[in-house]
Order: sequence, then structure tokens, then C-alpha cells
Amino acid sequence: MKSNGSVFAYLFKPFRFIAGKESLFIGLAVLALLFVLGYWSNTHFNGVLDAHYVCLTKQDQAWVHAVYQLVAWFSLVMVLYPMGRIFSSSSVRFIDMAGTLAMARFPLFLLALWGFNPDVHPCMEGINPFDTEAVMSILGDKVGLLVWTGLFSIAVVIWYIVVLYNAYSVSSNLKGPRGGWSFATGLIISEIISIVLLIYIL
Amino acid sequence: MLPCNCPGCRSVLKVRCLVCESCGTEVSGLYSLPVLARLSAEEQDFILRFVRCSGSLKDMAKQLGLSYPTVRNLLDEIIEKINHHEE
Repeated sequence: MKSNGSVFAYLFKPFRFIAGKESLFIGLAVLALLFVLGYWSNTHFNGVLDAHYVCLTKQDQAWVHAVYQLVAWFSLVMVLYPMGRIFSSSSVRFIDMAGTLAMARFPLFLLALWGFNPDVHPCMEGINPFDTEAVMSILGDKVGLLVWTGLFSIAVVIWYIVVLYNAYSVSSNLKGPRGGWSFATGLIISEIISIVLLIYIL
Repeated sequence: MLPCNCPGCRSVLKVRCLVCESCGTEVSGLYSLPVLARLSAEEQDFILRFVRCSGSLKDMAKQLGLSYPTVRNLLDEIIEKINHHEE
């Protein structure tokens, strides 16, 4: 019954050991750091599941990146907390859900750090994506790097979703099919809400 | 650990005989195992800790090095198991 704090557990299920106020403080630090790294590396986390490397000539103001983080967190909590309350027979604390869902965004650090490489920010604005010659002239010898960037992003996003699920599962004591489908539904709804909110705010 | 299930058919076992170690008296009958005895060793340990912590899940979480919701989830699982055994 004692805690088994393996590296795997800390990377995928840190909420087994950290929740409540502690997770909220760490989670807020995660959001703040993501905002700073996202701004410096011009990586736009514009949605719950979104990360885009924008052309370096197009730099948004810092507050935009702060809004990205707050909207993504708000959308997740506002959807998954009620879902936990509805579908779980356990008592679900708001502070656990809010803290763990904020903390669960830590895998996105890797995408923000990857964004410091200027070669992963191709400027494709105004280019017809079906015009292969024009696209290839912009991408040039960066194609290999961009393919790796795509694969790396998929791996990080999968890791992020697994951590998000564990945050939801631990906070609401939901697992199995009921935990799976309620989480998947909640995640899709929160992604839509975050995109709508960002369109409305920005 | 007290065996609770039949190794042949997995049905719940009952107590047929109890013995006094000091005088050798045997009491025979057909007694049901108490619900707590039918839990695993880990679950029994959890309940003992829970009682020693005066039912404080926060204290238990500190002792076990686990988060509060993890400990609460473990307790919920045990409650569910006890309810299932009592049915």
C-alpha cells in the first residue's frame, strides 16, 4: 500500500502522489512557464490539444500566450469537473480537478522547447498547399526535420492525453469504460469550447 | 493470510472447526468468515491504518506518501468490495 514512486509513475501518474493545493501551485507554475516558453519560442498553444509553430515574422503579444494557457485550463476544468461529479459515485473535489488538470499540461514543455529551433517555423502564409513546387521551395532541406517534428509532436500529445486522463481518473475515481468515454467526450467538448473562446477573446 | 476461497471451485469457504490451543477443546459448526477477513492483506492493512489515523484520509495520505484522492479512491474500492461481500 506504500507509494511506489518510480520514474514511470511520476511521468504518467504523478497525481498518485500529488493532488489538492500542492498540485494547484505546481499546475499554476506549469501554466506560467508554458506561457513564457510559448511566447519566447513563438509556439502557440491555442486550444486544449493545440500547439502550432508560427512563422517567426509573426510575433503576437505576450498576453495572447497567457490567454491561451488560461483558456485551455478553464475549458478542461469547466467540462471535466461536472462530468466527474455526474458520472462518479465518489466525492470529487474541485481543487483536485483544477490542480491536476493544470499540472497535466507539463508534457507540452517539450513542444515549447522544440519550438526554439527556428527551422520548425516555416512561413507558409499565402501559399497554395497543393502547389508542391512552391511548398518545397519554402521547406527546402527542412523537410526531414519537419517530419521528425510531426512525429515528435504526436508522441508528446499522446503522452499529454494520457497524463490528462490520469488527472481526471484520480480526481474523480473514474476508470474503465465509463472513465474512458466520459473523458474522451469531455476532452472533445473542452477542445471545442477552448477554440470558440479564443476566437471570441482574440 | 486466511484462505477465503475454495482452491477447487473458488466458492467462499466457511469455518468448520475452531480449536483452543491451551486445552485442546474443539468447537465444530459451520461459521461464515467475517467480511473483513475476506479482504486481501493489503486491504486489511489499509483499514487498520484508517482506524489508527482516526479516519483521517489526509493523515493516511501523508503516512503512505500518496495523494488525498488516491487514498480516497482506495477507500471507495474497499467500501465497494465490502458492500459486494455483504450482499
